[in-house]
Amino acid sequence: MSRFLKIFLGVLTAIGGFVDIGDLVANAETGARFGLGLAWVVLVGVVGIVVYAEMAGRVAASSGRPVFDLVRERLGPRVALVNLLASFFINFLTLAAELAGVAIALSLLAGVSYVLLVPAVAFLVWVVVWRMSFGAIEHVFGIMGLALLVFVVALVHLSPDWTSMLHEATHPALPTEETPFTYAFFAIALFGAAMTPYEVFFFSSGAVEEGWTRRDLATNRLNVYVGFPLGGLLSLAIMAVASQVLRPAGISVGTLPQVVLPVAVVLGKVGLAVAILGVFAATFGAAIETGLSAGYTVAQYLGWQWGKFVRPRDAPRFHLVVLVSIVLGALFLLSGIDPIMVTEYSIVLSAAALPLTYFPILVIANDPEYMGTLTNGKVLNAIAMTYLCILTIVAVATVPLMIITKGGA
Amino acid sequence: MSGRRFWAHLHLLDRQLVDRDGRLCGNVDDLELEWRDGRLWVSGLRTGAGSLARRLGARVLGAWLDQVHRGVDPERADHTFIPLRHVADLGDHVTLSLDRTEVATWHGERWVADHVIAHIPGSGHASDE
Amino acid sequence: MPRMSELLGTPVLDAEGTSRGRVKDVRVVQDGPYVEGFGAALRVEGILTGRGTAAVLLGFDRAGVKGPWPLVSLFRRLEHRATYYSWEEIETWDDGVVRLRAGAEPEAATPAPSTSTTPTPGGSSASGDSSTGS
Repeated sequence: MSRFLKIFLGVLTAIGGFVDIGDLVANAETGARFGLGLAWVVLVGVVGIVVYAEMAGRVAASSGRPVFDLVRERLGPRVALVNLLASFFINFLTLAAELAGVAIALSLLAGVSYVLLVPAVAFLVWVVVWRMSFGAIEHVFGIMGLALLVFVVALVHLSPDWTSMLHEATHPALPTEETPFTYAFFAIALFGAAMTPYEVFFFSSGAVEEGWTRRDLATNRLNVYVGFPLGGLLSLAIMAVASQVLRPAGISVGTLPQVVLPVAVVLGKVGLAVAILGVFAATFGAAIETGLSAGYTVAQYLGWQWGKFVRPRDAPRFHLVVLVSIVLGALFLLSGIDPIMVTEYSIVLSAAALPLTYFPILVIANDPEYMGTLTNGKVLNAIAMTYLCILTIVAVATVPLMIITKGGA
Repeated sequence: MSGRRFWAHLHLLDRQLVDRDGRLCGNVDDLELEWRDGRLWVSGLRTGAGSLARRLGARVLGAWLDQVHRGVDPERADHTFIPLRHVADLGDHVTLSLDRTEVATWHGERWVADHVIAHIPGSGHASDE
Repeated sequence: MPRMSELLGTPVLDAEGTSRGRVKDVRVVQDGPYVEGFGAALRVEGILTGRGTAAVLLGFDRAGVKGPWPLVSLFRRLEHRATYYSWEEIETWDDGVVRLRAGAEPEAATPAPSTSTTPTPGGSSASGDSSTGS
């Protein structure tokens, strides 16, 4: 494959793979309730994940080790254990939410209750993790995820008043039904959805899976600088469509079908089918990523052999953790718990745990022992440090706001 | 190698162990010390879940885990101690001149490999890139 | 057989019985008799002591982590509150306490750069192989 094509594929994969169930729910819900008043949060979140994902990729390419692997070395086993437990738990919730997303997307096509599909979905996800190569997984589900561009198509088809939309986004106003607390709570939820921790763990482990070296740094940067922001635009399209269709009708988002409802309204059955395909791909891909992340974090803390680049027989406990996590995620859903609530908790708790994830990345990216000459420059450090402060404020505010707003009611 | 200085906590503990074929086989969970001529020397590395538990203060759990690992090994050998002579290099990770089957983590890995993973079709091949 | 984890965190008292904090880290030097397959044996050379958050592990001071500057200045200040004592200054280590000799004198934590300190930076070649090994 020519080099240009390979790069193009990488960027497309990054765009299509950016959105997961957390982004779908958070963007649709805020669009329906706040219009475009929280669009700026998506922008801030995208810049944040771009900055840190590039760092995580660079750490992996320079040192040959993923970030989580190095957390225990740099912060000690106690702190790393706290990090592991928190990350694993939140990752587990996210995994369950993604599995639910896949099942719900399929249930919209099959016409049966999504709960019945959960076991089959879990099995399918695990089979793909077991048999499909890492690169193939990324590319297939990433490209398929581009079906979510139907949200952009729907938005354009609506011929909205672009100037007033731009005005609404740049002059955030508090809707009368909302309070400053719900505004802040949803800002945090959106932020947590954009900067989900598993993304950086997965991204840096993935870089090692694919054998990145310093020569791949340029490609890494291109994927991250171009792919992620375009993925962020997809998120904004979902928000905008919800704000144009659901908000005037007073419909709020409490289920996944309501996320794709605007597309069905605007583009009919064909649009709906494409949207469902996009949701399926995005959540299936994310289910695989969170499943693997469960294995990565545990194995890397304990020093076990991990990764799909070796035979399963040579990384048995890693694969066992992945398998058990997927099974437990499915069982969790079969208990009848509301999947949207699981999604909301996963993104909000992700927001609360953000500093735990990102602080080690920042320290390691500045450590010449691992990075050689590729440590952060001063400007990058300034931006990253600012974000770390933002993340800390967000983390501290999360639980109080969750209590005050009763979970965003 | 000689004359090099290390900080135990900063440079040696919690480092990844890599066997002679490049396979990952645990972490440096602790260092074993011995008194000789009134001075303290590092006699080797300690690895394994039991060693980590002990390091984190859970002595009873640590002793139990060590016992479990030993019980799983057919020769009942203790692979949690790696004498210095089997350490080939100290860098940002620790390279051993041993094969991973001779290190503590192998017990758990082999048990899971034989009793769980081997029963799933396709466990013998890596999904190729 | 004692373990490093037993020495780390042990309370340190001076000859008068005043607390000097705890053992935060231990320096070892490779200057012992030759060990086949490894090199010169590792001898415990001294201890880094401090109270509370002194000598935080992150390596800003002792491993040369370079930024960002707010973290660097914060953590360097914490690390400088730690004191290093050569092993000769230690009277005893038993009963879970390290006792310093009378008149024990601290030294600089990091010796003058006449001997190389390790590990060598940017180990991408070695670790690149190992992590993708097969």
